[in-house]
Amino acid sequence: MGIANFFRRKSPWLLHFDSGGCNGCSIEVVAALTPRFDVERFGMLAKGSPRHADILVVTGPVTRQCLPRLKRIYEQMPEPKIVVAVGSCAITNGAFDGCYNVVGPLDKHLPVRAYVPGCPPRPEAIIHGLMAVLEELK
Amino acid sequence: MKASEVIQLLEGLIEEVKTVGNRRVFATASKERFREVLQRLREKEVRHVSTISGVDRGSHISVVYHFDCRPCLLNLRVDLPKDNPEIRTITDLFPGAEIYERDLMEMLGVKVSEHPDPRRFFLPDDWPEGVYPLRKEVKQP
Repeated sequence: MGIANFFRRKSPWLLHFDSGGCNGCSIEVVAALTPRFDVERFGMLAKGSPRHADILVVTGPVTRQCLPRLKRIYEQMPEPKIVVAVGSCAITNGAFDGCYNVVGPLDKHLPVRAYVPGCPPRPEAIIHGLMAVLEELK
Repeated sequence: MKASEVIQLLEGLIEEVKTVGNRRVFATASKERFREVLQRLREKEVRHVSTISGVDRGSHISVVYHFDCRPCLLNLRVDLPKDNPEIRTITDLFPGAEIYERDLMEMLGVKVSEHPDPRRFFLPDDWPEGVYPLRKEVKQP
């Protein structure tokens, strides 16, 4: 384990991106970030810019309009970068499967390292998924 | 207005009148005369069109206007032929219908004539012209 990875594991920064869902998962992600579930005790912090982020948290089915934006955001992130798919929609398109504007699932377009199933997943489950990808950085 | 008052007001202009409970009226009007219905509603201080829904029925396209007549709801259906689905805008009488009509135009290919702002609203930027995703004949991926 290099020294950069050692410190990265202590404070991985998150970027949350909703690629076109119902906002249910987004609210659970926000719940995971805020004091009740408090993902910040593991040093994780939500950031507004992909250039500062280590982990991309994607919720919702990938829509045709969002896909180029999502790819651009992913490309703007510095290496090493990790993608976490949160919710049934990001994993399998969920209830939106077969819809005229849905081009997902997410792992068709980006390399996903962790899947958090649920509709929406519990904040504990999201935190568990994020901790699981941190193990990979070891 | 109550349901009975709405039906009385629109006597002669609407057909296939059906009442559910005493707060819901379903009716149809012809494409030529439906604007007279709207004008009569305007005169009675009906200001709110809740939404417009478009339905592809296979042989024709139904456009359903949902009016809030306080406390009654009027669901006014206008059937359009599928080969030339054209209807006049209602934005001169109900300005709030502007976005619903844009939705109708891009999703079902209904031509809304004299619309003040007929741009696209929901569809992706690279969506091809002339493909209307909520039509029955469009193949879903």
